[in-house]
Amino acid sequence: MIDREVVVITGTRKGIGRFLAEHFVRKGALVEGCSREAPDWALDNYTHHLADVTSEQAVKEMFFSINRRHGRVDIIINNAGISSMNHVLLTPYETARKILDTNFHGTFLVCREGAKLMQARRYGRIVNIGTVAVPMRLAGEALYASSKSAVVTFTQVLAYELAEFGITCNVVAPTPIETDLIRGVPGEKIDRLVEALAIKRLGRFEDVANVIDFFVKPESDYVTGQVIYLGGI
Amino acid sequence: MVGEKETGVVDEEQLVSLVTSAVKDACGDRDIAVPEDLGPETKLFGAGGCLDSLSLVSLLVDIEQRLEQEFGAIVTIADDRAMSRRRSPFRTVRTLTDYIHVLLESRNDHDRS
Repeated sequence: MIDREVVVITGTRKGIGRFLAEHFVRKGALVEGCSREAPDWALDNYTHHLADVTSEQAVKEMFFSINRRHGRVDIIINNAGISSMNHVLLTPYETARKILDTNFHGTFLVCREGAKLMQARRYGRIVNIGTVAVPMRLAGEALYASSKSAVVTFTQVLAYELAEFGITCNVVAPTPIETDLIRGVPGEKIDRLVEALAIKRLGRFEDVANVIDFFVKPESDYVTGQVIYLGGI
Repeated sequence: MVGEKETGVVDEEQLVSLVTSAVKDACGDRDIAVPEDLGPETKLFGAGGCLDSLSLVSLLVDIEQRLEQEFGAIVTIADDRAMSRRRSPFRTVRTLTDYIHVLLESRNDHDRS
Protein backbone atom coordinates (compact mmCIF):
# COMPACT_ATOMS: atom_id res chain seq x y z
CA MET A 1 0.00 0.00 0.00
CA ILE A 2 1.35 3.44 -0.89
CA ASP A 3 1.89 6.02 1.87
CA ARG A 4 0.29 9.01 0.13
CA GLU A 5 -3.30 10.13 0.43
CA VAL A 6 -5.57 8.89 -2.34
CA VAL A 7 -8.30 11.34 -3.34
CA VAL A 8 -11.22 10.37 -5.59
CA ILE A 9 -13.01 13.23 -7.33
CA THR A 10 -15.92 12.78 -9.72
CA GLY A 11 -16.63 15.08 -12.65
CA THR A 12 -13.02 16.18 -13.18
CA ARG A 13 -13.10 16.85 -16.92
CA LYS A 14 -13.59 20.58 -16.40
CA GLY A 15 -14.70 23.31 -14.01
CA ILE A 16 -14.42 22.88 -10.30
CA GLY A 17 -13.69 19.16 -10.58
CA ARG A 18 -10.56 19.88 -12.59
CA PHE A 19 -9.60 22.67 -10.19
CA LEU A 20 -9.95 20.32 -7.21
CA ALA A 21 -7.92 17.61 -8.96
CA GLU A 22 -5.08 20.10 -9.52
CA HIS A 23 -5.48 21.42 -5.97
CA PHE A 24 -5.04 18.00 -4.36
CA VAL A 25 -2.17 17.03 -6.66
CA ARG A 26 -0.41 20.24 -5.58
CA LYS A 27 -0.94 19.17 -1.97
CA GLY A 28 0.92 15.92 -2.69
CA ALA A 29 -2.01 13.53 -3.05
CA LEU A 30 -2.60 10.86 -5.67
CA VAL A 31 -5.81 11.90 -7.40
CA GLU A 32 -8.20 9.60 -9.21
CA GLY A 33 -10.86 11.36 -11.26
CA CYS A 34 -13.65 10.38 -13.57
CA SER A 35 -16.02 11.71 -16.17
CA ARG A 36 -18.11 10.35 -19.01
CA GLU A 37 -15.82 11.88 -21.65
CA ALA A 38 -12.03 12.10 -21.73
CA PRO A 39 -10.47 15.34 -20.46
CA ASP A 40 -8.24 17.46 -22.73
CA TRP A 41 -5.63 17.78 -20.01
CA ALA A 42 -3.29 15.50 -18.06
CA LEU A 43 -1.32 15.81 -14.85
CA ASP A 44 1.38 13.87 -12.99
CA ASN A 45 -0.11 11.90 -10.08
CA TYR A 46 -3.56 12.15 -11.63
CA THR A 47 -5.33 9.14 -13.15
CA HIS A 48 -8.49 9.52 -15.16
CA HIS A 49 -11.25 6.92 -15.39
CA LEU A 50 -13.80 7.00 -18.17
CA ALA A 51 -16.75 6.29 -15.91
CA ASP A 52 -20.33 7.44 -15.71
CA VAL A 53 -21.27 7.76 -12.02
CA THR A 54 -24.77 6.49 -12.82
CA SER A 55 -23.34 3.13 -13.94
CA GLU A 56 -22.98 0.75 -11.00
CA GLN A 57 -20.58 -1.45 -12.93
CA ALA A 58 -18.41 1.49 -14.01
CA VAL A 59 -18.19 2.83 -10.46
CA LYS A 60 -17.32 -0.60 -9.08
CA GLU A 61 -14.63 -1.11 -11.71
CA MET A 62 -13.13 2.30 -10.97
CA PHE A 63 -12.76 1.49 -7.26
CA PHE A 64 -11.50 -2.00 -8.10
CA SER A 65 -8.75 -0.42 -10.17
CA ILE A 66 -7.92 2.13 -7.45
CA ASN A 67 -7.80 -0.55 -4.77
CA ARG A 68 -5.55 -2.77 -6.86
CA ARG A 69 -3.08 0.02 -7.58
CA HIS A 70 -3.12 1.93 -4.28
CA GLY A 71 -4.88 -0.27 -1.70
CA ARG A 72 -6.59 2.72 -0.13
CA VAL A 73 -8.99 5.62 -0.54
CA ASP A 74 -8.74 8.51 1.93
CA ILE A 75 -10.95 11.22 0.47
CA ILE A 76 -13.97 11.22 -1.85
CA ILE A 77 -15.39 14.38 -3.38
CA ASN A 78 -18.67 13.86 -5.20
CA ASN A 79 -18.50 16.76 -7.58
CA ALA A 80 -20.14 15.32 -10.71
CA GLY A 81 -23.43 17.06 -11.24
CA ILE A 82 -25.80 18.31 -13.92
CA SER A 83 -28.36 21.05 -13.92
CA SER A 84 -31.26 22.16 -16.03
CA MET A 85 -32.95 25.50 -15.34
CA ASN A 86 -36.57 25.26 -16.27
CA HIS A 87 -40.07 25.91 -15.01
CA VAL A 88 -41.50 22.73 -13.47
CA LEU A 89 -44.41 22.80 -15.91
CA LEU A 90 -41.95 22.73 -18.79
CA THR A 91 -39.55 20.12 -17.40
CA PRO A 92 -39.50 16.83 -19.32
CA TYR A 93 -39.60 13.69 -17.19
CA GLU A 94 -36.42 12.46 -18.87
CA THR A 95 -34.62 15.62 -17.72
CA ALA A 96 -35.88 15.14 -14.16
CA ARG A 97 -34.72 11.52 -14.18
CA LYS A 98 -31.26 12.39 -15.49
CA ILE A 99 -30.73 15.08 -12.85
CA LEU A 100 -31.69 12.70 -10.04
CA ASP A 101 -29.61 9.91 -11.57
CA THR A 102 -26.37 11.89 -11.78
CA ASN A 103 -26.67 14.16 -8.76
CA PHE A 104 -28.20 11.75 -6.28
CA HIS A 105 -27.86 8.15 -7.46
CA GLY A 106 -24.32 8.83 -8.70
CA THR A 107 -23.38 10.26 -5.32
CA PHE A 108 -24.92 7.23 -3.60
CA LEU A 109 -22.99 4.75 -5.76
CA VAL A 110 -19.63 6.49 -5.33
CA CYS A 111 -20.15 6.84 -1.56
CA ARG A 112 -21.16 3.19 -1.23
CA GLU A 113 -18.27 1.75 -3.20
CA GLY A 114 -15.70 4.19 -1.82
CA ALA A 115 -16.78 3.65 1.78
CA LYS A 116 -16.32 -0.09 1.32
CA LEU A 117 -12.60 0.57 0.82
CA MET A 118 -12.42 3.26 3.50
CA GLN A 119 -13.98 1.07 6.20
CA ALA A 120 -11.20 -1.48 5.86
CA ARG A 121 -8.73 1.12 7.19
CA ARG A 122 -11.23 2.71 9.58
CA TYR A 123 -10.60 6.12 8.03
CA GLY A 124 -12.24 8.26 5.38
CA ARG A 125 -13.44 11.72 4.46
CA ILE A 126 -16.44 12.11 2.16
CA VAL A 127 -17.43 15.54 0.89
CA ASN A 128 -20.55 15.93 -1.21
CA ILE A 129 -21.54 19.03 -3.11
CA GLY A 130 -24.79 20.85 -2.33
CA THR A 131 -26.05 24.24 -3.45
CA VAL A 132 -27.40 27.49 -2.04
CA ALA A 133 -30.38 26.89 -4.35
CA VAL A 134 -31.76 24.61 -1.60
CA PRO A 135 -32.22 27.20 1.19
CA MET A 136 -32.90 29.99 -1.34
CA ARG A 137 -35.79 28.03 -2.92
CA LEU A 138 -34.78 29.31 -6.34
CA ALA A 139 -37.54 29.31 -8.94
CA GLY A 140 -36.47 27.44 -12.05
CA GLU A 141 -34.23 25.08 -10.12
CA ALA A 142 -36.82 22.75 -8.60
CA LEU A 143 -35.28 19.53 -9.88
CA TYR A 144 -31.65 20.58 -9.36
CA ALA A 145 -32.33 21.87 -5.83
CA SER A 146 -34.40 18.80 -4.97
CA SER A 147 -31.64 16.47 -6.11
CA LYS A 148 -29.17 18.36 -3.91
CA SER A 149 -31.62 18.27 -0.98
CA ALA A 150 -31.55 14.52 -1.38
CA VAL A 151 -27.74 14.65 -1.33
CA VAL A 152 -27.83 16.62 1.93
CA THR A 153 -30.22 14.22 3.68
CA PHE A 154 -28.34 11.23 2.33
CA THR A 155 -25.03 12.66 3.60
CA GLN A 156 -26.46 13.33 7.05
CA VAL A 157 -27.80 9.79 7.42
CA LEU A 158 -24.60 8.38 5.93
CA ALA A 159 -22.66 10.29 8.59
CA TYR A 160 -24.42 8.22 11.25
CA GLU A 161 -23.99 4.93 9.41
CA LEU A 162 -20.29 5.40 8.68
CA ALA A 163 -19.19 7.11 11.90
CA GLU A 164 -18.18 3.85 13.52
CA PHE A 165 -15.80 3.19 10.62
CA GLY A 166 -13.98 6.49 11.18
CA ILE A 167 -15.53 8.01 8.06
CA THR A 168 -16.92 11.54 8.14
CA CYS A 169 -19.48 12.82 5.61
CA ASN A 170 -20.14 16.50 5.00
CA VAL A 171 -21.55 18.87 2.39
CA VAL A 172 -20.17 22.09 0.98
CA ALA A 173 -22.91 24.12 -0.71
CA PRO A 174 -21.50 26.73 -3.10
CA THR A 175 -23.07 29.86 -4.48
CA PRO A 176 -23.05 30.20 -8.28
CA ILE A 177 -19.54 30.06 -9.69
CA GLU A 178 -18.61 30.92 -13.27
CA THR A 179 -18.90 27.41 -14.69
CA ASP A 180 -20.82 25.69 -17.44
CA LEU A 181 -23.51 24.88 -14.90
CA ILE A 182 -24.76 28.49 -14.77
CA ARG A 183 -23.85 29.50 -18.33
CA GLY A 184 -27.50 29.31 -19.40
CA VAL A 185 -28.85 31.36 -16.48
CA PRO A 186 -29.84 34.96 -17.32
CA GLY A 187 -27.46 37.60 -15.93
CA GLU A 188 -30.16 39.47 -14.05
CA LYS A 189 -31.18 36.28 -12.25
CA ILE A 190 -27.59 35.74 -11.12
CA ASP A 191 -27.44 39.40 -10.00
CA ARG A 192 -30.59 38.97 -7.88
CA LEU A 193 -29.16 35.82 -6.35
CA VAL A 194 -25.86 37.49 -5.48
CA GLU A 195 -27.81 40.42 -4.00
CA ALA A 196 -29.51 38.01 -1.59
CA LEU A 197 -26.17 36.77 -0.22
CA ALA A 198 -24.45 38.32 2.81
CA ILE A 199 -21.25 38.60 0.77
CA LYS A 200 -22.23 40.03 -2.60
CA ARG A 201 -20.09 38.32 -5.18
CA LEU A 202 -20.05 35.11 -7.21
CA GLY A 203 -18.22 32.20 -5.68
CA ARG A 204 -14.70 31.13 -6.62
CA PHE A 205 -13.23 27.68 -6.92
CA GLU A 206 -10.87 28.58 -4.06
CA ASP A 207 -13.87 29.21 -1.75
CA VAL A 208 -15.05 25.65 -2.29
CA ALA A 209 -11.55 24.16 -1.94
CA ASN A 210 -11.07 26.02 1.34
CA VAL A 211 -14.11 24.39 2.96
CA ILE A 212 -13.19 20.99 1.53
CA ASP A 213 -9.69 21.34 2.98
CA PHE A 214 -11.26 21.85 6.41
CA PHE A 215 -13.60 18.86 6.09
CA VAL A 216 -10.87 16.47 4.94
CA LYS A 217 -8.22 17.31 7.53
CA PRO A 218 -7.42 14.36 9.82
CA GLU A 219 -8.12 16.76 12.72
CA SER A 220 -11.74 17.16 11.51
CA ASP A 221 -12.61 13.70 12.79
CA TYR A 222 -15.30 15.19 15.07
CA VAL A 223 -17.01 17.07 12.23
CA THR A 224 -19.63 15.06 10.35
CA GLY A 225 -23.14 15.42 8.94
CA GLN A 226 -22.61 19.16 8.44
CA VAL A 227 -23.55 21.50 5.60
CA ILE A 228 -21.53 24.67 5.02
CA TYR A 229 -23.18 27.22 2.75
CA LEU A 230 -20.89 29.70 1.07
CA GLY A 231 -21.66 33.38 0.64
CA GLY A 232 -23.47 33.83 3.94
CA ILE A 233 -26.90 32.50 3.13
CA MET B 1 -6.43 6.35 -18.35
CA VAL B 2 -7.56 3.04 -16.89
CA GLY B 3 -10.51 0.77 -17.47
CA GLU B 4 -9.14 -2.73 -17.09
CA LYS B 5 -11.15 -5.71 -15.93
CA GLU B 6 -10.15 -9.20 -14.86
CA THR B 7 -12.11 -12.38 -14.75
CA GLY B 8 -11.73 -15.53 -12.74
CA VAL B 9 -13.37 -18.87 -11.99
CA VAL B 10 -14.15 -19.78 -8.38
CA ASP B 11 -15.21 -23.28 -7.26
CA GLU B 12 -17.50 -24.19 -4.37
CA GLU B 13 -14.69 -25.26 -2.04
CA GLN B 14 -12.80 -22.02 -2.58
CA LEU B 15 -15.97 -20.05 -1.88
CA VAL B 16 -16.66 -21.83 1.42
CA SER B 17 -13.05 -21.28 2.44
CA LEU B 18 -13.23 -17.60 1.49
CA VAL B 19 -16.50 -17.06 3.37
CA THR B 20 -15.45 -18.90 6.55
CA SER B 21 -12.17 -16.99 6.62
CA ALA B 22 -14.08 -13.71 6.25
CA VAL B 23 -16.52 -14.77 9.02
CA LYS B 24 -13.56 -15.35 11.36
CA ASP B 25 -12.24 -11.87 10.63
CA ALA B 26 -15.69 -10.28 10.99
CA CYS B 27 -16.11 -11.91 14.40
CA GLY B 28 -12.59 -10.92 15.42
CA ASP B 29 -13.10 -7.28 14.41
CA ARG B 30 -16.19 -6.96 16.59
CA ASP B 31 -15.16 -9.19 19.53
CA ILE B 32 -17.75 -11.82 18.64
CA ALA B 33 -16.90 -15.46 19.53
CA VAL B 34 -16.09 -17.45 16.39
CA PRO B 35 -18.51 -20.42 16.14
CA GLU B 36 -16.62 -23.57 17.19
CA ASP B 37 -17.75 -25.73 14.27
CA LEU B 38 -17.51 -22.99 11.65
CA GLY B 39 -18.50 -24.54 8.33
CA PRO B 40 -21.18 -24.59 5.64
CA GLU B 41 -24.05 -25.08 8.15
CA THR B 42 -23.00 -22.27 10.50
CA LYS B 43 -25.83 -19.80 11.01
CA LEU B 44 -24.71 -16.29 10.18
CA PHE B 45 -27.66 -13.92 10.43
CA GLY B 46 -31.21 -14.13 11.72
CA ALA B 47 -32.46 -16.65 14.31
CA GLY B 48 -29.46 -18.30 15.99
CA GLY B 49 -27.00 -16.41 13.78
CA CYS B 50 -23.57 -15.42 15.09
CA LEU B 51 -23.52 -11.95 13.49
CA ASP B 52 -25.34 -8.72 14.28
CA SER B 53 -26.44 -6.42 11.45
CA LEU B 54 -23.28 -4.29 11.45
CA SER B 55 -20.96 -7.27 11.45
CA LEU B 56 -23.00 -8.68 8.55
CA VAL B 57 -22.38 -5.41 6.66
CA SER B 58 -18.63 -5.68 7.31
CA LEU B 59 -18.64 -9.36 6.33
CA LEU B 60 -20.37 -8.76 2.97
CA VAL B 61 -18.05 -5.86 2.12
CA ASP B 62 -15.03 -7.94 3.07
CA ILE B 63 -16.20 -10.86 0.92
CA GLU B 64 -16.75 -8.56 -2.08
CA GLN B 65 -13.19 -7.28 -1.69
CA ARG B 66 -11.74 -10.78 -1.35
CA LEU B 67 -13.57 -11.86 -4.50
CA GLU B 68 -12.07 -8.84 -6.28
CA GLN B 69 -8.55 -9.30 -4.96
CA GLU B 70 -8.28 -13.07 -5.15
CA PHE B 71 -10.34 -13.83 -8.24
CA GLY B 72 -10.80 -10.51 -10.07
CA ALA B 73 -14.57 -10.91 -9.73
CA ILE B 74 -16.48 -7.65 -9.29
CA VAL B 75 -19.91 -8.34 -7.75
CA THR B 76 -22.42 -6.63 -5.47
CA ILE B 77 -23.59 -9.22 -2.95
CA ALA B 78 -26.38 -7.12 -1.42
CA ASP B 79 -28.10 -6.64 -4.78
CA ASP B 80 -31.82 -6.27 -5.50
CA ARG B 81 -32.30 -10.02 -5.87
CA ALA B 82 -30.70 -10.75 -2.51
CA MET B 83 -32.64 -8.07 -0.67
CA SER B 84 -36.01 -9.03 -2.18
CA ARG B 85 -35.79 -12.79 -1.61
CA ARG B 86 -38.36 -14.15 0.82
CA ARG B 87 -35.63 -16.22 2.46
CA SER B 88 -32.47 -14.19 2.96
CA PRO B 89 -29.33 -15.64 1.33
CA PHE B 90 -27.37 -14.45 4.35
CA ARG B 91 -28.76 -17.07 6.78
CA THR B 92 -25.88 -19.55 6.75
CA VAL B 93 -22.44 -19.98 5.23
CA ARG B 94 -23.97 -22.38 2.71
CA THR B 95 -26.84 -20.11 1.62
CA LEU B 96 -24.37 -17.26 1.28
CA THR B 97 -21.86 -19.26 -0.77
CA ASP B 98 -24.72 -20.59 -2.93
CA TYR B 99 -25.87 -17.04 -3.55
CA ILE B 100 -22.35 -15.83 -4.41
CA HIS B 101 -22.08 -18.78 -6.79
CA VAL B 102 -25.29 -17.63 -8.52
CA LEU B 103 -23.91 -14.08 -8.78
CA LEU B 104 -20.64 -15.30 -10.27
CA GLU B 105 -22.47 -17.56 -12.71
CA SER B 106 -24.79 -14.79 -13.90
CA ARG B 107 -21.77 -12.54 -14.24
CA ASN B 108 -19.99 -15.13 -16.39
CA ASP B 109 -23.15 -15.58 -18.48
CA HIS B 110 -23.24 -11.82 -18.94
CA ASP B 111 -19.57 -11.72 -19.93
CA ARG B 112 -20.12 -14.50 -22.48
CA SER B 113 -23.21 -12.89 -24.04
